[in-house]
Amino acid sequence: MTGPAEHLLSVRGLRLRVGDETHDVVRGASLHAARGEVVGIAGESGSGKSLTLRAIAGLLPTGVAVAGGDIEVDRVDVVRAGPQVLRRLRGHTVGMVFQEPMTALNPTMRIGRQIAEAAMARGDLSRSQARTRAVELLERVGFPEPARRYRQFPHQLSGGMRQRVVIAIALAGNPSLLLCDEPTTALDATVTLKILDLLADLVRDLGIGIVFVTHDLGVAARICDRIAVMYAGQVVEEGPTEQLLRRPRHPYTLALLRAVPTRDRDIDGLRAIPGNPPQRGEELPGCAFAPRCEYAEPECRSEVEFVPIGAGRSTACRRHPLLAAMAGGTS
Amino acid sequence: MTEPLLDVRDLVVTFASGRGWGGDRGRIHAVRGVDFSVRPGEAFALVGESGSGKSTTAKCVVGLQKPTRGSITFAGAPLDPARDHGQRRAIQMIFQDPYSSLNPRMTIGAALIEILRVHRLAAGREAAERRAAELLDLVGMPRSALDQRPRAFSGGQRQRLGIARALAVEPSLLVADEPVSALDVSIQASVLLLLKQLQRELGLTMLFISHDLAVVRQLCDRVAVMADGLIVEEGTVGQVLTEPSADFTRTLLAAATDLPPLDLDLEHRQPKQRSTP
Repeated sequence: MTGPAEHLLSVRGLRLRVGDETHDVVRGASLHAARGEVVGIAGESGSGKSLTLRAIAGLLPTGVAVAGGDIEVDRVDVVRAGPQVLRRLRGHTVGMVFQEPMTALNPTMRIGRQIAEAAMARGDLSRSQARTRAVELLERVGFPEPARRYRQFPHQLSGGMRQRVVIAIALAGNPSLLLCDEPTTALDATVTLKILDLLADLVRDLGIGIVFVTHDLGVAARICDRIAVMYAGQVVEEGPTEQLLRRPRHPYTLALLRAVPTRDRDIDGLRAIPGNPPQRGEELPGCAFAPRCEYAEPECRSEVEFVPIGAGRSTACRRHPLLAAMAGGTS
Repeated sequence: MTEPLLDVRDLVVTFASGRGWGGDRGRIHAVRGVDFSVRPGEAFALVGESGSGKSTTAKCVVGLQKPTRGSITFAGAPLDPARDHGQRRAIQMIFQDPYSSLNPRMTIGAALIEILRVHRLAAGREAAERRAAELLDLVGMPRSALDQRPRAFSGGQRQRLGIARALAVEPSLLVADEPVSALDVSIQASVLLLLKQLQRELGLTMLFISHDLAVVRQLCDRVAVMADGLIVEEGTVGQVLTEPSADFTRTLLAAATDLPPLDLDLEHRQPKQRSTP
């Protein structure tokens, strides 16, 4: 087990609130990430996965505030940090990659210059050093002939190459943590695969940690060492990727897995999840998934606790022993 | 062999690429000679990545895009860009984005009734209202939806309403362009199950456009794989997924992000307390 000292990122009991509403949109999310590790946050729209990621970077949208809990990134207390500390955090410690590369890039500026500017934001490089660094970064993210490509504009690139530029910008400040929000969702499958390979290489070669938000469990399966599944603003299950996907210990994870169409299963094996996710502001005593859960008992409506269940796994389901029994008791 | 319902021969679509600031004014060959046919009652998939020409091909079939060359035959008659009323009615489409395919200012009931009356599918207002309610039953929506506007519904519900709208005119061919790719996983499953149920109950013929081979596996009988405006491989879904012949299909299959198989006994139930010694 990794001790707390080795944690690059530690989120404990995070609660996020919109405006002066009386309920929280993220209702107690906990997760941690170490260097050299890819941690996925998987969930459907409205689960709170992207807001959780933004909170880690101190980049919550206007009107959303931390209502409780702690976020620590590389020993920086993000929740209580002032604007200067946060700016330094984003320049040095944390890099961000978003879904839409075209909106993250300046369409009128050559890509090399955009990377060089990000490298200079750190404050310790001259203009020519930043230029050299930008060329190195272009090569690092997979551009052949980086010195020539430096002069290209975003519109001259394909979606996958644009996303590589965004990754280069995110790496420019030498971060130890890369936060990725659905970085491959807008890309074709063959391109997705190459971007995932690039991210895996960066983790291996640079020893950075990645938090990877996705709605796609297949993508998470491909890149993540561990996955945290979110539902209605809470992490409901967390554990090593293979165990979590093969032997889930939360009925929501199981229901999601049975709802994903796969090539080796025909439609008779597909199960929709009955009912709808809770509305924003709905009272949610106990487990938020209980009303849709085939394993729920009356007690599930009143109490829920996110607890470790061994082998590096945690679940918020009271009935996890039943799911363990379905897996033949193996972890 | 039965006559195909839809027969596409040597379809070519070329776009002028416009005058860019770079100055060169080229032509984009979106579809470069595509042949396929869809038999009645069959679900046929066009699969490919972005820019492969699959959506442009579908648009030609529906009549939203004029082919540069080639012929499209539907139920034995040529489909010209200027289609008659019956031909327009016979081919309906559902779209990827359920948010933009419904008129936001009309109630669901008003929109369905208008379609039914325009196409003279209901004699009188009462019959139209009855039929609209039946259509909601068919797609698994409550009848109370008739009095509501699209914004009252979630993405999955809007896609169901889009399907109801398409089915209102009793089309013989339903063209579905990525109908589930904008939806969340759990919602996706319910829409796929609805489409399958409609196939089984109504014998719907479907032309299904998708980038996702796993989704195609759920719904379709045959598949054509497209790349760069051409069909590179065609066969039954089983053949293409398990014994691909084209290199591109193999690349596409290798890039599919699959889940490891579940290792749970789903039939397992907690033993009753009294029955365990």
